[in-house]
Amino acid sequence: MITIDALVKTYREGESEVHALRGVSLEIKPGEFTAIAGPSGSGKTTLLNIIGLLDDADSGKILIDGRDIQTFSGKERARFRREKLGFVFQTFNLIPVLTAYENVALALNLLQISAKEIESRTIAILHEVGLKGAENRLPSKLSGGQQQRVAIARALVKRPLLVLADEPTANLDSVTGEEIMKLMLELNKKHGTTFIFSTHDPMVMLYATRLIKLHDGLIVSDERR
Amino acid sequence: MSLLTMAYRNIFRNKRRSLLSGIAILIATMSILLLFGLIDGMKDDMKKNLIDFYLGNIRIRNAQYTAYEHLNPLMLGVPLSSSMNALAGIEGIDTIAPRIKLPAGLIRDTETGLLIQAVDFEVEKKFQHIDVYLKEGRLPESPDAREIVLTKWLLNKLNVNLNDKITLLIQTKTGGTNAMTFRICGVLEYPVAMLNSSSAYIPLRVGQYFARMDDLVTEILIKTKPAVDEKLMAQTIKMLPELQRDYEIKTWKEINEIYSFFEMAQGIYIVIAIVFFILASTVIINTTLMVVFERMKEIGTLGALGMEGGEITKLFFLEALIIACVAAFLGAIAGNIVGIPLAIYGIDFSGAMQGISMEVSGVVRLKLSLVNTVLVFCYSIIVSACAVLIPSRQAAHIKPIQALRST
Repeated sequence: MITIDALVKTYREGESEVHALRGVSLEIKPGEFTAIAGPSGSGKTTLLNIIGLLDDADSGKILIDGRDIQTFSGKERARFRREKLGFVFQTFNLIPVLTAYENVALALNLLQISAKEIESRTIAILHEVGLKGAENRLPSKLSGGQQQRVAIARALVKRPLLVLADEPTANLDSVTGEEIMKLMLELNKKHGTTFIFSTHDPMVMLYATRLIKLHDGLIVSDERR
Repeated sequence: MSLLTMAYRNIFRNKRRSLLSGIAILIATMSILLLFGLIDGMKDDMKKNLIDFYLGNIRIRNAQYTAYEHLNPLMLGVPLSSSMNALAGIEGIDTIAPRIKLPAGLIRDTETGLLIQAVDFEVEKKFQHIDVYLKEGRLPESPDAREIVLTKWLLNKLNVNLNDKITLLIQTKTGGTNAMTFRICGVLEYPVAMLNSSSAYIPLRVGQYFARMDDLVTEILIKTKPAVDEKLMAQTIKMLPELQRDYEIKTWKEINEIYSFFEMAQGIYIVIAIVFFILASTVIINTTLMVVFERMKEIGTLGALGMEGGEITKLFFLEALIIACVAAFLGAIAGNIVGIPLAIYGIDFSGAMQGISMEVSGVVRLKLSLVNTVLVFCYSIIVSACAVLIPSRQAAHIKPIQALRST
């Protein structure tokens, strides 16, 4: 269970202030496939970054599994991200010198688990995302869709509590984007992993089981489907 | 996937830049190795020259002689027979060379000064290998022959030739004057400029008679056998009843200040080497800084994956360290390859050494050693590692959100 209560975030750019989040409160149940939608500058990415412990809120509270993550130290934050969170980025953000297999295995290498388990889990998730045969290819030898599949595999291989995806289809064509959304939904159903993803694409919103719309840092609608 | 493998692969992302960093470290390592080799070569050469030609391992003189040396105090000598008898019982002595230093004037149409040394030529063959440096003629035929060997440089300076006769005027032990005529029987040529400008030898017995020295000599030089502690040997000699009082018994290191200066200079060169390596490291520091800024998004991704600051620092540090290790290793090899011909054939400084009062040969051979190679290699790595730690740590201080926002 993720509980967000009165989250406020303001950016200062010179003398002007940008109110990215102006008191956002919501609850996300385990296994939900939630889309945060809204126009550019509505606060989608800021909300994801704060939930993902990449950024700090000015005020408010976030409880994940009953723990107030805002109070974590730097080391605790890194450990929490390593063990409990998975990230999927708009620009895939794969490590260019590592193969598809190594990029996925990297997430497990950071956890203290055996080499044998790393191998079996990595191979299994790569096959699950449809990358059988592409394990040893470098990101530069993969298409955009394949790269995003590697990123999804990397996020899911550690069996996280929550996967945060920031506009996961924004850099893909519509057909590939749909494939990625189908894959994410399928993995959500299969593993029961909670997904929160941001988007401004109506096609992507259709896949969400819950759609939260943000506008100027405020939730304007919250619809369960 | 270990950090080391990632760091290794990252090196090849911009080969030209990695190569440039490596070349800077390579050149620094090679240069310092050659510099250390040159200093060691000079030190060894100076040590050999000082021991062979000037001081032996240990020199025995009358305690007052050095203080009055400028006044030619022949009466402040060392009794030869009793000293030789006493020294004969000491283990570890290789050769004993008695010498008499005699400032002399050349009587001709004008007077020219030179310092002659009365020596036992048979002993000197073993002590300084005088026969090796004989370029023309021969050494005196007998201990009583009134013959002299001069260096080629002196021959030219005095404007005389081999087999010419020269008459020398000296002050005797008792303060009187004496003159003697010598035939030039041999011409010497030393590798040391300073020796060439001052070496003239006559037989020891002739010198004793010439200066009315009786059994005295001005100094006794002792060459020790290899692996003998010369300091300890000097202490043993000081304990001899015959030499216990009134004699100055010193090792060559205690006498020669220039060598000590060289040893001190070596310490300074180590500091210079560090500065040199730091300068070379600026290239790798710059490269690492550029790499950190270029891979900002990657730093953010690794942070998002849960990698801690220390691990991210380690990744960049390892990348630079691999370059430094490989470059230092190649630099050490290159230094030895370049150094081998310089160790065999030497570097000719004879032009530059003319007129310099230093006991270093005109041709200095580099001394390459495994110790120096390992020392410089480790040095290079340590300094480079310390230098790249600064930009590498920069990566740890970047917040993942800042890194992910960068383009």
